[in-house]
Amino acid sequence: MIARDPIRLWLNTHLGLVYVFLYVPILVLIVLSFNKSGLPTAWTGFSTEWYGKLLANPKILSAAGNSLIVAVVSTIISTAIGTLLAMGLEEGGPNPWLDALVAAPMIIPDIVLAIALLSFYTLVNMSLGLHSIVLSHAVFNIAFVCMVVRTRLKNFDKSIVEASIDLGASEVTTFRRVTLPVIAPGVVAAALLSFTLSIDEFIIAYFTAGAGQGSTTFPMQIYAMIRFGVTPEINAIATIVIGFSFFLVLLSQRLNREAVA
Amino acid sequence: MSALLQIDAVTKRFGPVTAVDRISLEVKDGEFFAILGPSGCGKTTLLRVIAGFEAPDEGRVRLAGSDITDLKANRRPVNLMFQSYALFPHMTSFGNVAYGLEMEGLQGAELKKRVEQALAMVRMSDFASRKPSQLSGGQRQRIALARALVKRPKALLLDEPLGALDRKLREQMQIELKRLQQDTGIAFVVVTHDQEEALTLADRIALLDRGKIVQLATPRELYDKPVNRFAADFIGLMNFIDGSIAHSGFEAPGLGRLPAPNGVANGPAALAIRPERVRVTENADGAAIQGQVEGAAFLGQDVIAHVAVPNLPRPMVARLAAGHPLSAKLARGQQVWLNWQADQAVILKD
Repeated sequence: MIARDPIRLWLNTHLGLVYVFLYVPILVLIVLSFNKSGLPTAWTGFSTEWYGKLLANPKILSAAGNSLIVAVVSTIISTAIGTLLAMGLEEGGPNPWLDALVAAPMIIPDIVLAIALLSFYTLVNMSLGLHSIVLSHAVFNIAFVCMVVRTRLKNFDKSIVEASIDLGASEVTTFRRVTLPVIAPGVVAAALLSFTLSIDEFIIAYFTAGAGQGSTTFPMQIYAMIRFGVTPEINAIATIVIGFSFFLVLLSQRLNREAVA
Repeated sequence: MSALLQIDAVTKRFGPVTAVDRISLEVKDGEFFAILGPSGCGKTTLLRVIAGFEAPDEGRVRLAGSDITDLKANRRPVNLMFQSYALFPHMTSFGNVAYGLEMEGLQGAELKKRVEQALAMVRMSDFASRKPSQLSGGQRQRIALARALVKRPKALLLDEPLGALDRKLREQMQIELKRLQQDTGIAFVVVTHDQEEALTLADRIALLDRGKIVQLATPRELYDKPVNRFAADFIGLMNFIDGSIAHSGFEAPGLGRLPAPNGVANGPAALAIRPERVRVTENADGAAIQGQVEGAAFLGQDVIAHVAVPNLPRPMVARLAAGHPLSAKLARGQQVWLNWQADQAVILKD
């Protein structure tokens, strides 16, 4: 037996406290979503009635549908463009300016990006709706995809590309049969990340959605509901979203681990 | 044997650096050719020019009579075995070997037959369904060889083929490479920094330094008749004695006239003698120089002796073959005499 190391004990306590701090509020929320009473102050018994109510609410369902459309389309756009961008940047020599310009949309505050995009759409006279949200989400997602795929490309043995060409393959065939399959775990992880980022993004969507009722996304719908107080219905939505996000994060981490092996 | 590959005055520059400087050479059909040199001598660049991954700034490359200088790498009938092997990590051994044939449009039974033949040739038939990550270094190399050879190239280029293997495996693979080259009759062009590897494998060696060919010769010529100090120093061990040619003989300051070949013009020169050509005796017997044993190392069979000689900056190295009367009793501090035959030394003029 190893003697109890006081420093180790301290570190473990600290670690535990950090996790408590991070997850207790979320845990409270999950518990309350199963509370029979509508009030967050008292536990009156286990119930799944709020989940049932949720599924019967057409506004929530249509907003969730909108969010799925936005997330899927912007993920496809940003994964394709971001992956190509990553390959281009890795191919060229190191260029701090280009790197900074690519990373900027990740760092610029969402509110600034939202105003900039809205001004731009107004300037070019573009109509607002789901399509403008898709474009806006693609803008920052490209930056995230590019970052994730580049990490993968850094460990990529470029001589296998030359080997493929040496064996008679064209550049297109090489990309399809060698480069893409090898970096695929990174590309999928990037897609999952951009999907997650898009589905719960509020500020930019709120600014660029336009006035129409038809382009309300899921976070916007929750925001509208929460103005009348935190209902158990919202707790139920949040629980579903947490479960879904957690699943995506685990999946993307798993893919990235496999990629390294 | 006719010229298969002709490199004609090829130059390749990277910015201010001239990596390959007007190199011309010919590789014959079915030859095992080595490009040897220290790192940064341009040997890998030259190989990449032949493979088609670098376009030369000047000069032409011809293969079997036709000019391939402007042909893209994927259209050239040569294949390259990469130093890192560059196996496709997501494909099995079979998939790796089949890839090049699929690019030729081969499929079905014919494809399968050719791949299986290639795997059998490198004795890897039992590993067809393994991924590269499940193979050892030596096994990966065999798959890389099979992948390059299965396309029946006119020439196989190998970049430091044995560099990543440990000593024992290296010796085994040297024999294997030689066997494969003789069985297939394909010309092998191997790039290496390991002189021993080049001497063992190659029919002819081009020794490169700073982008230029220093000497192009058979291993024996390169060993026995190096053209300059670089060549003499790079290949094997060599003793150097600086001096000059005067009165049709070689003289070293403080040592007088030493045995050396005739017929070299007067002027400063260096005498180069291989350690195994140095005769060590206990008695003067008309020997050339005297020295004191500094140390002797037993190599398993031969003994390497270091002998300090007055007026020489570095000790003379002598290799005593097994059974030499002195090999068992050489002791530090012992006085010995060194000698060699005039025609077994080389005079270097640079």
